[in-house]
Amino acid sequence: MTATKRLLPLLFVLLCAVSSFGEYVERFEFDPASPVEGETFEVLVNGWWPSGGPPFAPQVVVDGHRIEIRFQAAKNGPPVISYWGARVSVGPLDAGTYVIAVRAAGDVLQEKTLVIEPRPFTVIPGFGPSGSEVLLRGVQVPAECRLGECLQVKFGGVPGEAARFFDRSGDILIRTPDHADGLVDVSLSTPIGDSVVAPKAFRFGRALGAGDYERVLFPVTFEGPGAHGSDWTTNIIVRNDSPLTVETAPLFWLNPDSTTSGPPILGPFPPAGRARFRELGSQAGRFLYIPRGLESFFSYSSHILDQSRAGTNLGTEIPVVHVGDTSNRIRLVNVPLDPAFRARLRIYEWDSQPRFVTVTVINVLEDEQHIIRLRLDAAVITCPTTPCLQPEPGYAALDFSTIPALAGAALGDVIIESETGDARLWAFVSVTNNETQHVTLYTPQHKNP
Amino acid sequence: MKKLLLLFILLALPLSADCPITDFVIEPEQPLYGEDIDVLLRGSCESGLRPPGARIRVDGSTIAIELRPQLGLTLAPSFWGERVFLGRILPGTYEVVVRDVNREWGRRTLVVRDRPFSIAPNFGNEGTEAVLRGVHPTGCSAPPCFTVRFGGVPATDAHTVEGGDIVVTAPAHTAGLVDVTVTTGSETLTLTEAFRYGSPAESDYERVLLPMTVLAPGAHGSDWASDIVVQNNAPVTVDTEPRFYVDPDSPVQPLPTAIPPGRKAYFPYRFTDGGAFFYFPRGAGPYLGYASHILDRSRNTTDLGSEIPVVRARDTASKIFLPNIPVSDLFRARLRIYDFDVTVSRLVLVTLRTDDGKAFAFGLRLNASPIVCPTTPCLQPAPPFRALDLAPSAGAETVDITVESFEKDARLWAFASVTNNETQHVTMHTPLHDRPQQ
Repeated sequence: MTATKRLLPLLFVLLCAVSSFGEYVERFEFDPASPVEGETFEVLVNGWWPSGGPPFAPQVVVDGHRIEIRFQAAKNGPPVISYWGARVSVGPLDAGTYVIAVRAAGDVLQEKTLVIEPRPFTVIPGFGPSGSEVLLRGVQVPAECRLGECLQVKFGGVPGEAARFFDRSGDILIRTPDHADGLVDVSLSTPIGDSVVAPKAFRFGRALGAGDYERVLFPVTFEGPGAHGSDWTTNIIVRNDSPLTVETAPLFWLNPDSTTSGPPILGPFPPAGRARFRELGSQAGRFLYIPRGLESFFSYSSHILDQSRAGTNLGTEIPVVHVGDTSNRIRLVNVPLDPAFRARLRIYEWDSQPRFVTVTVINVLEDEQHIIRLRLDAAVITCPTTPCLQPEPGYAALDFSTIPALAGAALGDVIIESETGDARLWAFVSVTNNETQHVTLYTPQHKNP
Repeated sequence: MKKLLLLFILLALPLSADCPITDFVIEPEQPLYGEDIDVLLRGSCESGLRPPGARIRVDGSTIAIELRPQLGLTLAPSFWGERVFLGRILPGTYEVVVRDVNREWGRRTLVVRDRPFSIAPNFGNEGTEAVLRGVHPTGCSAPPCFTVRFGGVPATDAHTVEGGDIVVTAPAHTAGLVDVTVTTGSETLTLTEAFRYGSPAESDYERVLLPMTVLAPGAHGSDWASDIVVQNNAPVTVDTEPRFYVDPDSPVQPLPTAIPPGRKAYFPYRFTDGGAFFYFPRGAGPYLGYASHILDRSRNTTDLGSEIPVVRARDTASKIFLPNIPVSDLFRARLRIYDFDVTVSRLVLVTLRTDDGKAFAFGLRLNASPIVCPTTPCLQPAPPFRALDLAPSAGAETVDITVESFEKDARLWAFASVTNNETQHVTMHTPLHDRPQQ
């Protein structure tokens, strides 16, 4: 009763704080932040809800250039404040100016204007210094004005150099001209004028932020001693099959033919370059950032290995996680909890945000549930300059042997769930034999809900 | 000189060669909002000049698939294919137009239906239980405060379950597709053509590929078994193909049935390599969980096996990269290649690049053995498949493997297993890349 009395003023304050609709929404963002013509994007929305059931089941309703994301919600329930969130896939859209509105329980909570720039062709990557090579995709070369004859590609009005077809895909490689830093239009120019323009398609200079990149998560980047005399290392090989030299973050390509003395100089990936990821030592895994549009040219091999037993075992494959693999609810089925093995759950949060998740472990044979609340934390960095790319995801680990209630359990089903629908989680359990150090993984094999 | 002249003449030819489209298919046939949509294009070119790629442009209700300029020269007639990923399109009616810079190649109407809620399963008969997700009646848990109708007929036994989903029992109705409606107060939500009474069509199913479903002895005394568990997390029974759930409490040897709510079952073994497809009603996919491993049972006290991915169509590509595969006398390395499209024995190009700079390329034809069914649905049990043992190469410790189809509409998947001859520990090398550039 005393606790209830203490909470009532807090509840009142919170209700007052969220009394205007705009304040129900804390975050309302687009991902990517500036989608272009033909690109599918997500709308991220989260916030507080004052009473009744929080908004759920979003529907996208299009009315011309107004797009409403309509949530079902109730406002006449008991005054219980709840946190809510969702990610809603929208698009692709044609070029134009749109109003994107979020509506729940019949009311517009918030709306934003979104400008979709035309993209008659795509410039990959969308940033780089003068003199760097870029890829043009989707250029319709006029039959009467061919590449290398009269067709010119201009960056901010300045012709690019050494344009040529990359292969039979129709993609064009071109070197960017000298130009001051800044965002420019890219145009196709024929003797009768600039016929096709991709507005704001290339930025001379550095990337501005994470939105200029795609990223993958290497969930295990650990190197060091482990239990029972094991000596773990992670072997991640990355290969660039694009025709471009690609500046990843972090840099880790090392010229194998370098003869210079002194510390190795890490550089961008050349075409067909291949390198071992070197950022080892973190329990939380690491992100690899690749300029937007180029990640699909990259391939990977990723394994964890006990080097003390390397003659008997080449290790265990660890998935490379893409954003499409994440979900706000993850289920891992039939995880062995035998004491002859060490079972460890690792949970990752793609957005590097501190967040609580609920872990439910179901003892399969006894049909008993054990619920644990875990906080994921990220080593968030601050940067003096842009781009500021977070190196690690939010992370938490849980050894099942530390849960007394699971002693004697043989198999467990594990459910990891965030409090709101906008979370992007990934998780897996490693089950390691105490004697042989063989690692068996249980990763999410389900389709995202 | 004559060759140069011939080259000049050929280069001067207009590149919009005659490449009629023979297949122009939108998949799935009747997409709902939120489903990924693919457009499959196939054709043949008399000149051999295949369209080398496509891009998508949206202009109001027109979705243009623009084929890129044709490059290069081939005199032999050739077949071409393209699988264009449209993604999740907003509800509405669209014209999908295929064109290049010179002309239009074909067009189809695409209707993306609104999905105010989802239903699973999407077919059945009177008495079939279905779960509706996405509409939560507030303040009550059963009619009369909400009503669910199948083709206008009220469903029986409608009630809400934990999480807010609605479980209903389909009422009697004549065979065919019907709308399902949920009415709460003054609002009625309609999912059009949502439930099929009677025998399902092939398009009423989704499928996943289980790449290893084997029970067989192996080299060096090994005894291999796949350990694939499928869990039904839906609040209703999910019927599958094949059926493999058996009631553990049955006093007699039971026949396999659909998987009841909350239950698990082991996917059946096959005695040949090549994996199997697992089918379930469209819409039920998010309710199914899996654990999939391959295990040497002769050593199962020291090793719980290696995880084998459950493969979906979205995981496939016409070009697969597998870098850094170890090749050594101490290990057995085997490449397995699968094709999601069942009816063709496709030729693929396998390229091996060793770490000492050598490259080997050769063609491999996948073995397809489609079944013929007297009635529909005819669900193919296994994909076209081919395995290749990778011999150690003198001087090389690893190889980078590329598996590529000549037709870009192909949906391939592949992996290499590397098995220690002594411990039989299997290290997997699966495609960890996103869908590669086509």
